[in-house]
Amino acid sequence: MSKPSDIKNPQLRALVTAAHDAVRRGDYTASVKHSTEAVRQLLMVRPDVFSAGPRAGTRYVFQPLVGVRVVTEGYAEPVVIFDREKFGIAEALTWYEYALENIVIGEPQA
Amino acid sequence: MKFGLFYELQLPKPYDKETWDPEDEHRIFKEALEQIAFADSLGFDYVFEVEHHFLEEYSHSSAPEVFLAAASQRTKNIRLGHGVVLTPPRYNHPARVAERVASLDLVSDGRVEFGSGESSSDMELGGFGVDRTAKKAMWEEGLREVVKMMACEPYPGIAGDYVQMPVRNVIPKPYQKPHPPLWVASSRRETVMVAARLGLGSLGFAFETPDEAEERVAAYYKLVREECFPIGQAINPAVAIVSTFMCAEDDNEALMKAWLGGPFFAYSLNYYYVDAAQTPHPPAGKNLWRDFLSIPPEEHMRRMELRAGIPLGASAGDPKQGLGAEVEPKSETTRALWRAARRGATIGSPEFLRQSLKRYEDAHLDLMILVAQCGMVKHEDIMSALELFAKEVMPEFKDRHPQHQQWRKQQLQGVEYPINSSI
Repeated sequence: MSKPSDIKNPQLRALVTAAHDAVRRGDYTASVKHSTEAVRQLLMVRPDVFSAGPRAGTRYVFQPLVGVRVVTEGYAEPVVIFDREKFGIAEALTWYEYALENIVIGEPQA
Repeated sequence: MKFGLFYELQLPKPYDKETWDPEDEHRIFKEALEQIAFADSLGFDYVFEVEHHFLEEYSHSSAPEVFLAAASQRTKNIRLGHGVVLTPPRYNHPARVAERVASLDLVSDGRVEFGSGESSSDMELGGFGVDRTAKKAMWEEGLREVVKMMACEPYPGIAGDYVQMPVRNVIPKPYQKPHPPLWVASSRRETVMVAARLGLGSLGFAFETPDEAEERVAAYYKLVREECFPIGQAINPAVAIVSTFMCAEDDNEALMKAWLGGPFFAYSLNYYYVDAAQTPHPPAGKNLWRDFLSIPPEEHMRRMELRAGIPLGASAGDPKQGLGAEVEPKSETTRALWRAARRGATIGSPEFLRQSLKRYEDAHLDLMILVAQCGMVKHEDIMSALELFAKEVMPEFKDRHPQHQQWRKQQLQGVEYPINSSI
């Protein structure tokens, strides 16, 4: 099982750690912001890690659908788009797990 | 490891007609109830029933509480699982869920397993006006309130984002205290881990391999021990997965009997969750079964390869190939569809199933849920498969279950939350 300390890049590790800490103190919206920012930054250095397109069979296509998206198409660099302002624990945990797992998998080649 | 059955109540349309014959829905309900009563007498541990709406042919189970209530009166021991109730309040008001689950628990003498979920097909979300971007938040708030309603006397009320209700005493209360074991639908790895962190049993719908199951079970129990924030008043530490099922005297016979089941299950699942997201399903205007049969099996696999972005021909177009193939779709969702269409772990002779299931048992899986009723698999074939499996395969797993319970007890050492679990 991956954990934030498995992440080598200090910036990404700090963001995922912050997402984890935010869940523990009950600030779920902050946690979602940290997790999505971590994924956004991963995409900055590894734009190929999630290839776009619903038929590509990649993880990117299946980002958690919880009112926030990390988008690459149509922008010069990846952006985080929020459809809502407030998030719950299940949403925060889902994004945290998604960010952690994908960064640990994608980072070695970054 | 325990064993359960899983029911979507699939009902393909007759090949040459645009709708079902008048008796078809009645027949499928009666057959399923007969299978469950038989499974209970054979010693199966669980039955799980889905809640889906408007997914013609794929699932005709829109009122699982009624179906399970009927099952409760035909059975004595089998656990009656909602797999799952949709708890976004636009589907079901939390008070109605609490009342129905408690009533089912009372009429079944405390045999309910309460699984919840959020749904994801456009047909269902659109039909009830559920906002896709908020459905997880709705599921969480709905579930949290249902559990309070079952456990609190009176329920204190809420002014939430999705539920508003004044103080009321929601009755009846469930037979099991503080509430039946809680589960959540987990079709992705993230959701399995979220289930652990919220103290929910994980109903895995990803057709996991034994290796994946082992990794997930270990991670799940670690999180239950170290990072659990229970959503209920009692936790249900448990990991279950589903697998398409057929058991016959030899592998070829099992494959032949199952052939019109799993592949249609995957085809119709893909239709409603992927295809219909792009070209909306015409209500009462399609014959999925005919569409399915019009495509040769090799072409089904080729299309799936294309969709999955893996090299064409990588699977040699052979849907009978088992799980864990060298080349599989990377995305979990696509991979689940891919695997559902293939032979999987639980289609074969008793010897094949014994060996295959032993690997899941070694992975410390708590519960294997078998999907027998799917596509055009015949009722009599399901009945004989259940009997053969119960006679030839299940006993040794039952004999070894106390060892698993011991392992599980060790995993849960130090957990301070109340536990209500039937594993």
